[in-house]
Amino acid sequence: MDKVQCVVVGAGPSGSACALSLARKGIETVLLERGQRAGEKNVASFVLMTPVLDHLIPGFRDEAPLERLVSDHCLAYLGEKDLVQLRWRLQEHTDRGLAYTAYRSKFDAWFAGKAEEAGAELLTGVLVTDIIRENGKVAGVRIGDEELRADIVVGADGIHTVVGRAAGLVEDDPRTYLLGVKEILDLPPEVLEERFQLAAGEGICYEMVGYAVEDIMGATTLYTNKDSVSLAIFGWVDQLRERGIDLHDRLQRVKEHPYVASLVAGAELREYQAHIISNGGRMDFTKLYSHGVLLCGEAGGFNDYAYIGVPPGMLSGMMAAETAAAAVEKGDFSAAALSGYIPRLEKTGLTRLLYNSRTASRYLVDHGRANLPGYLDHLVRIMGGIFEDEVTYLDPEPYAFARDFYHHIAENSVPRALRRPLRAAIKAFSPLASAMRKRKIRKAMR
Amino acid sequence: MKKHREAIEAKLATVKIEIDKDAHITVKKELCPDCPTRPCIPACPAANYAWEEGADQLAFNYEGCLECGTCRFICPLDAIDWSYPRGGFGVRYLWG
Repeated sequence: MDKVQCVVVGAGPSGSACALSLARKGIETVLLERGQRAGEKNVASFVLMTPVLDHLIPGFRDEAPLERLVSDHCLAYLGEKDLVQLRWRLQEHTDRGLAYTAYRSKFDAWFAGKAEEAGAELLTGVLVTDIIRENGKVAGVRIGDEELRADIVVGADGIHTVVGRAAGLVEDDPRTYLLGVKEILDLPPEVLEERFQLAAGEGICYEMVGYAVEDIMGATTLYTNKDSVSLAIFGWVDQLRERGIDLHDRLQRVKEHPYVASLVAGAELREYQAHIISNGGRMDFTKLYSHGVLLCGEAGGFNDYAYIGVPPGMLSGMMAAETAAAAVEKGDFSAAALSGYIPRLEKTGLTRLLYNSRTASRYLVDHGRANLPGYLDHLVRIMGGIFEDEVTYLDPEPYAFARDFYHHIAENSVPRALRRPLRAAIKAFSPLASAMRKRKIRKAMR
Repeated sequence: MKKHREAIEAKLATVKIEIDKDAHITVKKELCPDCPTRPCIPACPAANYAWEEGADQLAFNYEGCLECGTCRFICPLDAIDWSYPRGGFGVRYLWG
């Protein structure tokens, strides 16, 4: 009977990040993928934010199959025939090469190859059907009639996670799932760049709300690749169920909107795709590990609002690898030993990110749907905050505002003798406020 | 509705699918006549579910499945059982 130190189920970004990190630590790792090739089961309206990958594979820009450097973003509200849009271009982000579009089928295959190069054994065309449970712990995975035993199983097997469900860690909540239906539409690079007003090699990401999904709180996204655009439409699974919604039909409708029609005019369909994503609401920090098993990526609920799901997944895979490596070193694979996963995640700033995401998601689920006309202002604000956090992965200083206000505006009107104590008080207050906020976030995630 | 299916079928022609001989979707069809809403029919982005008026029963095919898994969550009667196709089979996106 085969036994290895670690089995990672699923060669998407989080599984490959995990396997890569484990292999680099010299841990015997098998990476299992149900597709014939890593990435061929995966669909995303994919924008790769690079800080996490920069850390893992510093030279990736020269070798990864990337499509366009995202220079511009656009949030658009589509009326029946009208359009309100806000387009922004953050030059500093572009200069840093902060975000790229890519195809998951290409990117995931490349990334899994990096895990292989690092020493992980990648096996494709292998579907994990169950886990091996023994004496209250997870002792490996079943692949049909075959068994592969391992000290630790990492479930990185996506939204429909077999590992997470079999281990009793994941419960479904269709209220927080979005179905996305997507088309890849061919456009020659020079047409695309002229149409979207882009420099050569640069790209734009659109988030559109309103027309075609105005009654179901869905969204439309349009991202540019080298010689195509990805046009996707999203709707909440529970609403599809309750109201008999046909998203394919909505996708057809949005293509008839005058503005969208002008963006995709003359573009031939290259491929039609569908996938479900979770929307932050599934994350539960008490259910990410158990004896002999860890969950990362979408299996652990590490996806985030719409397009920024991949880097948090990678980061969770890296933290799962650190946790597994520490367990291997001690020879202790109990739930208590693996609980070190949580403080590791908290240290990355992911906790805050997911807290924000969950807040946004809950807001949309609980209030947005009920008060559709008023939600857009909130959405813009929430998106803005989330975007900033996701880009930086840092805890911002919560009272920077108070400090800036004091330094730039108020200080001159304060009597000289009081300036020093006031400045000290503000300085002392910031970490305290930061600690309180972190505590609130930790509490909310449990 | 027929036109709708044709539109989707044309789109499915762009997708490479390795069809398994074993179905990865099973439906307890005997429950479907009593289903008040049948949301699986509009919700499936591959239009894999349809109502046969004459026979008064649900028709589905697993071959065109895009593996989004929406039908896992969509059935009000829990009559649909969906799992991943066997390793190596099913949809093979080239541009996902």
